[in-house]
Amino acid sequence: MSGSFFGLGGPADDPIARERAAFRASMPGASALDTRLESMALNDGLRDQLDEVHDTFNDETFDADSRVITGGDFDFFQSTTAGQGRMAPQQQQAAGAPRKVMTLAELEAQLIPQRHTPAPAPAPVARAPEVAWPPKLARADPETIAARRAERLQRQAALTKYDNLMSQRDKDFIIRIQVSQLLTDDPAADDFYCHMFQLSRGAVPAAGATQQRDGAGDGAGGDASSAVRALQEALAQRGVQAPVGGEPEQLGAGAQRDQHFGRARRSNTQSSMARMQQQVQRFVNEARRRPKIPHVALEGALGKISVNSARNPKQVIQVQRGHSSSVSHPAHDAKQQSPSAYDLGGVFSGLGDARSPAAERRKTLRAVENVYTAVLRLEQLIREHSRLPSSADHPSVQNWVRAYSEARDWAWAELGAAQPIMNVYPHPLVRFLAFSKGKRVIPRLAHHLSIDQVLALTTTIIANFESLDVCRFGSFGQSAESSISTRQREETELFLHAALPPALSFLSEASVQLVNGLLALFMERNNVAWVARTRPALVFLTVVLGRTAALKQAGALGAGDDPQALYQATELYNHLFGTLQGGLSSVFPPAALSQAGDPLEDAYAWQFLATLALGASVEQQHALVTEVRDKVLEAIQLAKSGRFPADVAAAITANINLFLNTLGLDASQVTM
Amino acid sequence: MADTAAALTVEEPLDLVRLSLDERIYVKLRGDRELRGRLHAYDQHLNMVLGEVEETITMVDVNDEVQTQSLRSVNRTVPMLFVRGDGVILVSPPSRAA
Repeated sequence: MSGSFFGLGGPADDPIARERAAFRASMPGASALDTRLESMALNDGLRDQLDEVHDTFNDETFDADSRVITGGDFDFFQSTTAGQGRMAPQQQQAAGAPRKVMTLAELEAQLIPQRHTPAPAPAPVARAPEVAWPPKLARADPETIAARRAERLQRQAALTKYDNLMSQRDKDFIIRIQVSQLLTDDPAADDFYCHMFQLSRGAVPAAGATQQRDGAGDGAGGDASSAVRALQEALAQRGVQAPVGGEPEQLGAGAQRDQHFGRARRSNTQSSMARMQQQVQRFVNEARRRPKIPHVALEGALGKISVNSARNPKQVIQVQRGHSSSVSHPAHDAKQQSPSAYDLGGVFSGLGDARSPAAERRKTLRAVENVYTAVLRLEQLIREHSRLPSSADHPSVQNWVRAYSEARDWAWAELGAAQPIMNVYPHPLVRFLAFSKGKRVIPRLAHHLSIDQVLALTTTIIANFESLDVCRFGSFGQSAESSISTRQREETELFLHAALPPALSFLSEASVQLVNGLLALFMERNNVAWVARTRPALVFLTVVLGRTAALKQAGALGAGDDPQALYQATELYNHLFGTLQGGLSSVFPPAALSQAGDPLEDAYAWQFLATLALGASVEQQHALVTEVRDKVLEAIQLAKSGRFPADVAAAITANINLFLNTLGLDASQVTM
Repeated sequence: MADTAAALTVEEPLDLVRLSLDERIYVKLRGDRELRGRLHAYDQHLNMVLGEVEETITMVDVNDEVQTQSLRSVNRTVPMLFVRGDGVILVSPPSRAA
């Protein structure tokens, strides 16, 4: 770069410093402090854009005389006190006089009289300091207007006086350095947390990526797009009309501001955004041509200097762990191989649980974390999938397929859903689901599983339904005591919203035979009357019965389903009804809840009864109505009692009608 | 981020901390402080992000006249907290009494 830019010469050959010194000298009796005070008084709403002359922040860099720095004693104190009592340093340097270190008292003495002397030039305008925003346009007398305009022109002239000092080449050089720091091969991985955060706050605008893609090759779209996008969003929030959407209220405020400043500023920023994007694309292409090597080796130097950045941080020392695994305890080994141990001897596995619950817990936690690792890997593979070449023969594609199926199989193994049901209590899958993080990972994992695996998962859940933690406290909470604790409630919600839906959506697409089989399994392995008090079981039964009814309807329309399977479905239904009969009123949550808490909590119970009524024969319907009559009356009374606002009462009635309508009745028919 | 080691066949002590992710833990810090909260994130320096944290500071009040010392603890609750790993002494599951 040209030497003059960094002021390697003295004031004589530095045009900037010369001009600046001249400008300062032209202001009567002013010092740096004076001019700063003056600019404060003249605040015209250009806000934080400090005038070029008042910006002394970098002066010690740009004005510094290297001869003073490198030769002799460099006085750090003097040169770094920013502007305090510092007269034009160039004159001092030229004189060669040693700078005086001022004591605090002397500094103060210098400052205080300066503060009190009013600068003559700004006096007429200081009358109307524009510190408030928006500017008061009410003062209409022509004198102030003319004065203000003159003032503004003067300021603009001062601002633009040093424009165009850097050539385009200089600016590109600096921008290239800055942008090269942002380049990344895989923005999805490198900016992962930022992306996820933006997603969770409400959509990352995807337009930025398409603007960048130039056909310059795969991955070019990623390269600085995230940074450019972030910049666009930041500008959008400042009220500049954003190429990509911004928030409405901020846009409104920005538009208002723009009216005062005219269109020039806005379109300026827009076109500069476009220019910047072009430049960024150019830099991206250049950077791809010259790959950045992590080591720098100078000529004649004895070795490599490693360049650390955010992309290649300092590596942690890797310790060889080969020998330590052979030293592990044999019992520990046995636990490690436990999946196969289940096949060998159910006796020992059962004992294993009772022997050390802490170890079992840790084992389950380890399984959960392994599933998480696998799921993260699967999701990363999915993201990479779009960047793969399209032909199936390419080795990288085959690698990808292999890695994907490996990760999926590993996750499936760790999940433990495929393990035989009889051996261990509680089943590994049940223990897995006992943790809230276990429940949370199920939908993410189910996304990648095959249909058979989802079926196996559903089967295992059904077979062990009553040992699920959510069922265990659901049922106990139905005792005369107060409601179940918040934590239990949260776990139940989490189970119903996260873990169960994949199984339920599978069920709602399943064939008659499958549904029958699963319902039979459910009734065989669980104590239906007991488990029917819990909300998860009721939700499950609702879905199953609903699916059966839909299939029966399709069968009645001659959709060609197996009539024997439909007959079997009816048999199962009767069996279910028989088991539940006599205890139907207990499907409702305890009365204490509905009075103290949300009256709409029993919605799930009404839905269950509605689906139950769907498949009921006439006698069964009679039995149904007899049993829940009290509940119905109570609910209607609650709705009519006026204790709740109109919409809540309407919702209660709607719930009841869900049930009554399937029987051909309606809440309005009930006379009180 | 995604390419952590495969099955944790060889366990390092930090892997045990990983098992406690999203669980309530007990952390002992320098300066006679203890935290009980839900572990959301950690790293190799044991910088941690904890949620629903209850911090207990134990102080000793010296009473000069009577020449006694008494223990006093101060509690405060913080919804989300970042702990610098420098000050962590130990991390453990909370005592099973909870």
